[in-house]
Amino acid sequence: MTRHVGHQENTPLPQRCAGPSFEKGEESVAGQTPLFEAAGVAKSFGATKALVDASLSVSAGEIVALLGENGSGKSTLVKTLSGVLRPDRGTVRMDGRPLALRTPRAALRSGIVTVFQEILTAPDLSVADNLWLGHGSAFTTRSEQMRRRAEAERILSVLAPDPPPLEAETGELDLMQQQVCVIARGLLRRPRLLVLDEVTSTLDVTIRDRFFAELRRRCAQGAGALFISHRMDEVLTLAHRFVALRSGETVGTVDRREATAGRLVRLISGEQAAEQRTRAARTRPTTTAPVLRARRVVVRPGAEPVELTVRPGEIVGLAGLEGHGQDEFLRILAGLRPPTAGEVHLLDQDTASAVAVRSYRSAVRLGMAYVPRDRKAEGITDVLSSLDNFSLPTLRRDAVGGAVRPRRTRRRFTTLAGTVNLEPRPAIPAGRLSGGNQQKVILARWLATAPRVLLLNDPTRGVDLRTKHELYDLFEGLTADGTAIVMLSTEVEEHLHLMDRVLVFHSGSCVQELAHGETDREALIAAYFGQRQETLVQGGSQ
Amino acid sequence: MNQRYVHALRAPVARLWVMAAALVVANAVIAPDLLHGTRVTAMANLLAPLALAALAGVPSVLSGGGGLDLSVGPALGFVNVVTVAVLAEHGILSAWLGIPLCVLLGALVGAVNGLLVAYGRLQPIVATLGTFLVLSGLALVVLPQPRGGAPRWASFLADGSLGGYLPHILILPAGVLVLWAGLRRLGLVRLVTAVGSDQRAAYTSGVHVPVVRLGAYTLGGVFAGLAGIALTALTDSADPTAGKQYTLMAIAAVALGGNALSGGRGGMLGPLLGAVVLFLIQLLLSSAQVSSLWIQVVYGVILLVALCLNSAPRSGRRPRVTAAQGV
Amino acid sequence: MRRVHRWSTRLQGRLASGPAQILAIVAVFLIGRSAVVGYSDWTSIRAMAVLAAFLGIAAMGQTLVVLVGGIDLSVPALIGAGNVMTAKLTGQGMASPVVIVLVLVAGFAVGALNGYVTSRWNVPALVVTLATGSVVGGIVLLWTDATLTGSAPSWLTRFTSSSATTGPLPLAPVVVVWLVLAAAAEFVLRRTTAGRKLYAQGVNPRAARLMLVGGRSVNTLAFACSGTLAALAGTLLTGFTGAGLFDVGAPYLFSAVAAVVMGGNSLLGGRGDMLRCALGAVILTELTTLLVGFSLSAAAQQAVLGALIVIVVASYGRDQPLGSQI
Repeated sequence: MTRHVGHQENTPLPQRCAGPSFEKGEESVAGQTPLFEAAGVAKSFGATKALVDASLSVSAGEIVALLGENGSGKSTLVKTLSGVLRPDRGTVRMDGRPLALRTPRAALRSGIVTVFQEILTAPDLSVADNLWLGHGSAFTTRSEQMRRRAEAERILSVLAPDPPPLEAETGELDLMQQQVCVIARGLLRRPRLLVLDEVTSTLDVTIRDRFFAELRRRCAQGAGALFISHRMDEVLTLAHRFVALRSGETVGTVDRREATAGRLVRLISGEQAAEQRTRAARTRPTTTAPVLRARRVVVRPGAEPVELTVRPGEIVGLAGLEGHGQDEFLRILAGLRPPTAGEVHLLDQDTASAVAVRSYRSAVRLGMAYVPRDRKAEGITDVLSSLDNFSLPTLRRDAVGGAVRPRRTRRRFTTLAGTVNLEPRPAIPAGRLSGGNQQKVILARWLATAPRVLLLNDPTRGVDLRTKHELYDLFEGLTADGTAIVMLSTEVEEHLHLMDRVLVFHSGSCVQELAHGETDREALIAAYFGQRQETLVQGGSQ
Repeated sequence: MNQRYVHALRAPVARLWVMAAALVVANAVIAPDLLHGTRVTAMANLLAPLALAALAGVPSVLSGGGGLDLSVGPALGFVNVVTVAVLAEHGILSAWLGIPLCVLLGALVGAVNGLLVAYGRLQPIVATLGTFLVLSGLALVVLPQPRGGAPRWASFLADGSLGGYLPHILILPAGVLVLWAGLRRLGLVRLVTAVGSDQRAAYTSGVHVPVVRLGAYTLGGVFAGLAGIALTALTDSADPTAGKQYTLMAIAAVALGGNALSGGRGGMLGPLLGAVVLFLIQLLLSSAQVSSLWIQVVYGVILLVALCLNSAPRSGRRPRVTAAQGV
Repeated sequence: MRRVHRWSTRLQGRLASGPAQILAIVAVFLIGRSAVVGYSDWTSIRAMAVLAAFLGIAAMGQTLVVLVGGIDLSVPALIGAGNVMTAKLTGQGMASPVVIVLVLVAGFAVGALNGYVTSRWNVPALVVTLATGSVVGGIVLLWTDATLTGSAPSWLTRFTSSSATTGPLPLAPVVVVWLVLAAAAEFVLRRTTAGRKLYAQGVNPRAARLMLVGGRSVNTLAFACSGTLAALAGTLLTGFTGAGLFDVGAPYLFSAVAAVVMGGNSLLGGRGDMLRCALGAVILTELTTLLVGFSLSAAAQQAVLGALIVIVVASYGRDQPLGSQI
């Protein structure tokens, strides 16, 4: 049933049907009709056509990856399938029977369970209550409660080696544990079709692998999954089939056997672009005086002190499993969190005098800029315009006698939007921009302060592939101009290809410092678990 | 389970117990006849409408989305007026008919609020401000002047006490607490908490958010109806303007009780104790023979101090972004 | 000439954001005109303008507080305080400029206290302002023994008389003051760093803090402005009432909030502006006058007004459906 609308000449990919003739190597599907089928789904918001003609199918036992850039209509499609939005046109079938997905409740009843990109938990409820939220009867007996708790516990322990306690208040958990909760909530409902919209962005390697194993097991038992991720490595290891959306239309389907990263990227972007980036090792600037120095910084009580010296033009990566201290360390650098011990200094290039960072305010004043991880909660003010979001910290520059001159602000915005490769649309509320464009607005905001040190907290989280590469280019351009960057990342690829050095954290201490070119994937992940691989050149710690 | 109760009993409620105990002692020192049987009943009668009004304010606040029921006061006043000017007037004097009708009337008012908020998607302050005005106006239309003539069951509630120390009027708040405990046991309170905590999470998980919210406001209305009964018992008459004053006191009690006005957090015990504390403050001021003009000033200052004392930030919790942080 | 054109197109843009409100103003006016004798008379319009001015000034402060995500219930007490202070101090022979400065400083101080306590201890503004309102109201009661006291300076009586004119304008000076203040506030909100900070703080306090624009000072300032404006409304009301009365502000407890909302502003913080607030004050005044014109009893007026507020807000101020918030 796959339709080739908007078929592109430059993507001569074999387009396969998901119907009866479909084969999938080791787990071939015997069923006649696909488990799930969506055909010709369209949805407009006023004049904007979010979905024009989206079609896809998922067979029992199959994991289908839905690919597309931000703005390609993926999220709208997910919302349609989950009953949050009603499509203008199109049909959705389960086992060949048409479904009316009027509300999330109806979708859940038909066996379509969605885990949304945004982590939706009720922060005041316990973990157990969050897992069972809206599921099963509202009236529960005591024995039923016990059964529910047991099942919640079981699913959590499948996903996490160290699952959050069932009684914990969900709002007290860190982001990753909350993500585990929402995934567990989805799995708990015994979905027939599991829709996963970018759910791995906060998971660390261990939990992600456990989750993938469970997902494969569920699919082997006859469920289907629609998987969305901007991480090419995940998609390539997990999916049996790839469906690409571009401008709200299904533009192609690729089988796993014919899929390569390059091919998929071409299909998504419709261009012959973006090979896998391999970065030539740059000569690290060792001659210039350092700009940032962390001296014997202890992240948390009992941890080893961390030493870090950053020179202009360097990109230093902070890596580790979630919750092992890299996030705290970055916040300490930014002055957002007092260190247990130690000091952070910014150094003046000319006089070589060092000034201690005492607060976030002083850090910014001294030439640091911090881009937070949680864009929605800490990065943007969503109902305000992009221009406001860009200009607020530097607005005083455009003020003449107290009154802001909007034209000046707009001019500055246009200039910096050019730097970060953003189409400047100053009046659009920032909440309506895609994740990548929001990140660009935030970067432009801080570049306006001409920072000497840029502290980035997982800046490519939830950003599509093309934008990611644009951001990498931006970061390299900035370092070439002498900005120092310290960047926390949850993506192994970024540490391998982008960073000059990587500090790997474990249990609050920096267990290893790896230089660019001196490490590979295995060594890095081993370091995440606190193991040094002796075969590799160690350190890089000057 | 235990852990959760410990959790719930943490900070705000515990501090309220201390405040209430201190105020009881202070009252007893100033006016030693406080613990005499008749005075206990009289004070229970005075306390009951306020306590019930505070409890009536809980479900709407708990259901989140800026939830707030400004109409609690006028609703209980309206029930009071209807009891005397309509029910008693038409010969409905039986407790078995009169009390359910009062509760039903409260439920009806609550349901209207709930419909406006959940299905009309009006901001709760606006919707309940509307019903506030409508009900205060209607009360005056139905009964322009205060007048007596309350049914007999009112004086039974007000005067009697079990064993000389347990006033009948306490049946009402006790009934509310039992009802609430039952709903909690059935898991329905949890639904309200879920909706108030994050309505989008609840909605996408399949919770029928508008129905839950409608239920919460209706339940608040039921409690307001009971508060109206308590007011009738207290005054043994009807006063079309008596109800209004309870709205702001009820909200103050809910906030003082440690319930988050942004929703999703809090129970019944805190607001109940909050109401008791507010009541004891007023009692203390009047038995200390503070000039009635001073009472308002001192009351405000104490409320302010109590709020600040009772609001130390919870440890370890990530600050949450709630747009309606102040409301 | 080009400048004028630019301003007029910009004004049209602003008005386009509130066509429903303007429609409501026109509709209520036409209903009043056809139903109530003398509703559209020049004198009655001028009287409504004066009433709208008092409400509008009080509601402006409320708007600022609502923009940072709070609510101010101390407005009626501060109006009463401003009113009584002006009358009493004038009665004691103090010069008007001194009186006004004193009143505004007092309002500023109480408002600042509201804002500081709210943000320092993270307690709901609703209850904090309720408590300070109780204190202020009590002090005023003590000071006046709950009686009508003092007298209005004669210039203030002229200032707020609906038959007065402002230069060539056939409007009372108080109306002009209101409009100028509203325009100034709108300018401050849109075009100054302070105004933009206020919005950022209201929408997302955490993000505002990371942008170095948020924090306690912004909150405190918003509440302080609200206190100042409420006290100013009280002072101006003295001209209208002729003497000081402690509970002259009582009707403004909810009507200030109602005006903010009827203009189409959201109580959620960071969403709203002064133009809408002014439109809301006009609609509410029109409705109140209309109900008076129907010669309903005060009680019935109140009941109908409650229903009308709900209906008007429901026609353009509903929240988005849940599905569109995901």
